[in-house]
Parts: sequence; structure tokens; C-alpha cells
Amino acid sequence: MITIIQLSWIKLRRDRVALSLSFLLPVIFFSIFAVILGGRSGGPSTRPIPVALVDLDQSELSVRFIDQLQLQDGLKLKLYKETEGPQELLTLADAEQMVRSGKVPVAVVFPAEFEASFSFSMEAQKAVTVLFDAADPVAKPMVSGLLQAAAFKAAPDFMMRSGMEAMALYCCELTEPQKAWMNRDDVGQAASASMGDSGLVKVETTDIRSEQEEPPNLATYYAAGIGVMFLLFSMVGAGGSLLEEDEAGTLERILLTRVGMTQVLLGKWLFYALQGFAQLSIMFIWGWLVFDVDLMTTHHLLGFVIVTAATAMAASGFGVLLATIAKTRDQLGGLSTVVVLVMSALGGSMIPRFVMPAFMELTSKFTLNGWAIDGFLKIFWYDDPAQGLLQFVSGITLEVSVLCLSALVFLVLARRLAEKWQVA
Amino acid sequence: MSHEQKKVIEVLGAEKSFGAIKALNGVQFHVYQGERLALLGPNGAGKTTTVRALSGRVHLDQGSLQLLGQPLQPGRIGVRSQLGVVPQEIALYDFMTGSENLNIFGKMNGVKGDELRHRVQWALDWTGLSQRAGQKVSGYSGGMKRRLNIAAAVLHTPSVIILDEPTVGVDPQSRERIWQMLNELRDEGASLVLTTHQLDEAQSMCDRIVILDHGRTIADGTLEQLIQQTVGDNRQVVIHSENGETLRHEVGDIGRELPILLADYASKGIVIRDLQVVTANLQAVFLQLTGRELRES
Repeated sequence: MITIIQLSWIKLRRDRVALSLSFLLPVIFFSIFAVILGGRSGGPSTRPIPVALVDLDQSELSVRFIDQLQLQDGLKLKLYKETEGPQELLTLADAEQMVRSGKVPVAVVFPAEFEASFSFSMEAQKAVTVLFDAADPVAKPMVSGLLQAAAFKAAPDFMMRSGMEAMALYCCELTEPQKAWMNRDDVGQAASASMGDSGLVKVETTDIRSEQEEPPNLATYYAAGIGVMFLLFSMVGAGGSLLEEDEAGTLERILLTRVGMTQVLLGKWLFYALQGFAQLSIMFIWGWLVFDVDLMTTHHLLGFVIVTAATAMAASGFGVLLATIAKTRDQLGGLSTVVVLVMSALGGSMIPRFVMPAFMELTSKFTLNGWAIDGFLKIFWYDDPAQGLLQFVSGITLEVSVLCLSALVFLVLARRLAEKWQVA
Repeated sequence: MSHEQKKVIEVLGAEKSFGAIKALNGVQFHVYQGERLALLGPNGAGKTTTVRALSGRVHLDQGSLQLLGQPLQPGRIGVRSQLGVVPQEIALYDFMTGSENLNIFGKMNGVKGDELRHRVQWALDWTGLSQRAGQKVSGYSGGMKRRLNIAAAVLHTPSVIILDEPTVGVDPQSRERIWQMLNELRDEGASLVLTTHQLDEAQSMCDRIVILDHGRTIADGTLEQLIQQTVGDNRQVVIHSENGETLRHEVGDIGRELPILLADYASKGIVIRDLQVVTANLQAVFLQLTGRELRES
């Protein structure tokens, strides 16, 4: 029995793929999910929510609110347009566009006469508008809550003054010494501290989508996320046919014909890209038939075809590249399991990106899953039906370009690595 | 074979090293049009490297290769389209039928349309696989796969065909069939270069023999020429003694020398269990030149 144990230990020790699958991959996965779900050193579990902020009042009170909001770790305020030259404040239209395009999930708008109307009476208050996109279910309640918290920190004196005026109107006026005492700063702060967290600022929430528009469908996210993950697995498996051909001698035989290595790689890449396109198409058509994924509009269909083609080309290139890196089919299997699972976890294929910490938003940019999911969400979640087709397509240029460029880089690298099968 | 005939392959001073190992160290030979040339040598002699160089899969450090009078350059198809290479491994797609395999490799060799259809039908008839053309290769016997393996390399009607161990691992009937196929190719004008470990096959089926050892050409000629150059008219007497020893002797005049040899053994008290008189053949030549039996190497 000891000999059998010894034999198994030697086998495991010398199989680096099995070793990494057994010990490294679980630890990597545990770490990724622990970070996503907030178990890391008690730190903040969610990313700061980007918020577009429009101040139509430009009053002392609105500025104090904004100052308070800026102190919140959970928010990342955007007050200015992203233009070169002198800074320009965001307008209401800018904010609406930013939410609709998915640049921010929420916009907060302080109305004109916000300060003038601010009082204990909710009816008299001009409401702060929170424009939101239901695509991100976390952002709206979080921002609304933080806005209420900011109200108590920003405006205790305004609250008291308003209360005193109401008292004078309906009951009796305070004496001058009483008014002077109430106007002291420390009284306002003490009042603020005693108020706790119950809210008193009037907030109206508005979904950026019109009533005719469908709310975002989470099934779309998973069609993209899961679809891309399995696409990568399929493409790596398919790319492995190169190694199979090498082992069977058919690759050598092909290279003895008029067909060169570049043609072999391009032929395989193109076929697997077409296969990948079909694979993702079936996933989305199933989503459309069963889970109401909104596929059958001109905008969505066109966008889907473009992003799916780019994703399939990149995934196919990735599969071919991994096949040229690995020396054997077994090695490819182990390598691809580690790489695809880690990419999928970081890129948002397993857990929606809007619940991930901020830094993982950045890491997702290093994954094919991240770029593909971004492209699909821009089509299905952040599209504007009022846009023309050209404008709509230009909205996914970045994602499509990155995916196409990735495909090109993967192919160039694969061609270089494939020299090992070339002339000795 | 008349030396006025056209040389279809010329290997001149071929040298190739892989790291510290010198695989080819001045290999030199040629092949005439319509000739069947056997390339022999122990393992590591340089046969495979020579074949791979001719196939465009190895870049020589020194020397040159010519096919039909034109230089062969690795990575470029050029005149190499006139070459058919049959690999030693059965390099076929098991999941495809015999006919599909032929179609695929025919296309890869530049055969198209009606010509491809005709050539595939010719190949199926030639290999005797017409009845099995629609069956997957995975269900073929070893001999059938070998025949298809050869056919896949000659669909484009090459002028020169290189075969790496074309009969390895097949039964005598299949071997006979393969040689019949190769002779038909030769009759149609193709030149054949083959590596083999079957000395009897090389001896009986090839017009000329080139023997390589340690990356050099150590012999080149017809069987008769090689015998004359090495063992001459001598016969080899192989004696197996009762104590298990094997003793070899070269004898010129068998009638005169053999009785003397036997008397000598008897006087020494050596009891002979068995005795063979081996006529000069390729095996004897090979042994003389390399110091090894081919199967020992």
C-alpha cells in the first residue's frame, strides 16, 4: 500500500497540470469570489458607484449637499463634461445621456429653487431627482440612501430655521435670545447628530427608460456571460485539434502539400470563428425564445451580429494561440481550464460585474469576457431606440475594436509559436 | 541503368546539425528518372533527416538539393509540387472515409474538379479499396490504411515519390500488394526513393542502393556493384558450436576451404551444432560496411 501511495505521489508531483488544478486553481477561485463578495479584510465590498451630478440651483445648500456626497466612499461623483479645455458643468441632458449609455448607472439632479424650497414640509420641497437605469439594481437604492444621509450632514441649520419659521407661523415665535442660541453652529451639529439616519430630503426617482421600453433583462447578461465562457472552452478544445493533428502525423502531412502553416492556422481560426458565431447565436436565440431576450429588433440584431462576430474571432484566435503554446493535448486541457475559468470569473461571466469591487472593473478589461459582455450590454441594455443605426453601431466601436485587435494579436503570436512545427 | 539518363534528384554534400548532433555530414547521392532507389542505414544514420530535407521540412546547413534540375528550398513549394512524400506514420483522418481522405489530400496538393474526381477513382482502384471507399478509415485493416496512405501522396501525379518505410508493419500479402502498386507507379514513369529496414525488399525490388552511416554516404550502387566493392565473391560460413558460440568465416573457394575449416574445428575439440553457407547478399554488404546487422542497429 505504501508503494502505491509513493507511486501516486510521484505521479502527482511530476504532473504540473494536475498539481495546479488540485491546489492552485481552487485557491485562485476562492480568492476571486472572496474579493467579489466582500470577505477581504472587512474592506468595502462594492465598488464606488459612479454618479453624474447636475446642480441646477447653484445655491449654498446644493453645494453643501454635493460636498457631503463627495465625502461618501460609496460614490464617485462626476460633475463636469468629459471635454478638453475649461471644465463645463453637466447639464440635465448630459446626465440623461450618461445614464442611458451606461457610463453611469445613476444621475442626481438638484433642481432650481432647491434651497429656497427646502423645509420640513415635504410637499413644499422641490424634489431631488435620481435618474437611474434599472440595469443596475444596486445603484439606485444606494444613492438614494446616501442622499438622505447627506441631507442631515449638509443642512441641519436649514432644517432648524425652517422649523422655527413653521413654529412662528402656526404657534408662537421664539424670543431673540432663543433665536440667537438656536443659530449657533454647535447646536446645528448637535441636532444633526441626534437626528440619526431617517431621511427628510424629498427624492423622486425616474427610470431613464420610457414606459414603452422593456426593463433590462438579466437573462441577457447571463446569455452573454455564460455564452462567452463556454465559447472560450469550445474554442480552446477546437484549437487543440492542431495538437491532435501533430500527434497523428496529419499536420506534418498537410505541411508536405501546397498548404503552408499560415494557411493552416488561418483556416482553423476562421472555421472555429464561424463555429463560435453559431454557438453564441444559438445561445441568444434560445434566450429570445425562452427568456425574452430582446433580440429581434433591427438595432439589436445588427449589434448582436457585429459583437458576436468580433467575440467569436477573438475567442477562436485565443484557442489557436493556447494550442500553439501547449505541447500536448493534456497540457492544453489543464492550461485552458485554469485560464478560461479565471478569465470568466474576473470578466463577469460568473457574477454580474455591477456587484464587483472597483478594481475588478479594471481587471475585467484584461479579459475577453469583460469586453464581450460590455459589447452585448451596450446593445441590449444601454441602447437608445431614438438613435440612428450608424450612431448605434458607433457606440460599440471600442469593444468591437478591442476584440478584433485581440484576435489579430493572438493570431500573430500563434503564427510565431507555430514555428516549432515548421522547417527544422 | 544508363548514366545518360536524367537525374531527378541530386543531393550534394548535405550537412545538418541539431545542436551538438551532426545528423548529416556530407550525404551525397542522386536518383535517375524512373529508378527505384533504396536508402538504407542503421538508426541515426541520417535517412529520416535526408528524407525530411528533400520534403522541405529540414533546412540544410551546407550542401544543396535539386529536384528535376531545380534547387529545392524549404518553405517554398516551387518544384516540390512534383514530389510525393509518403510518411512512415499512417497520416490519415480516421473519422473520414477513404474517399474523403483522398479528396482532402488531393485538394491540398492542388488537384481540383474533374481531375480530382478521376484521380480519386484511380487511387481507389489502384489500391483495391473501391468497395470500401465509403467506409471510415478507422474500420480499415493495417494493410488497407498503408495503401491509402500511399495513395494520398500520389494523387497529384508526382514525378518523384519518396516513401519512408512503406511496408512497415504489414503482412506479407499486403506487402506484395504495395510493391505491385509501386511497380505500377514506376512503370508510369515515376522515380521512387524509399527507406526500408527490409534488406530482402531493397535487394529484390530496388534498382540501386545507397547506404548511409553516421550522416555520410558509405556506399552507392547496384547490388552487384556493392557486393563486388565489399565482400566480393566470398561466401560467409556461419558456424554455431554446441556451447552456443556463433563463428563467422569468409571463404573464397567453398569446395576447397570448407573441409579444412571443419577439420580445424574438429582438431580443437569444438563440436559443431549447425552450419550455414551464406551467399553474398545485401545483408553481408551491410554488415561489412557498418559492422552491424540492420536489425541490431
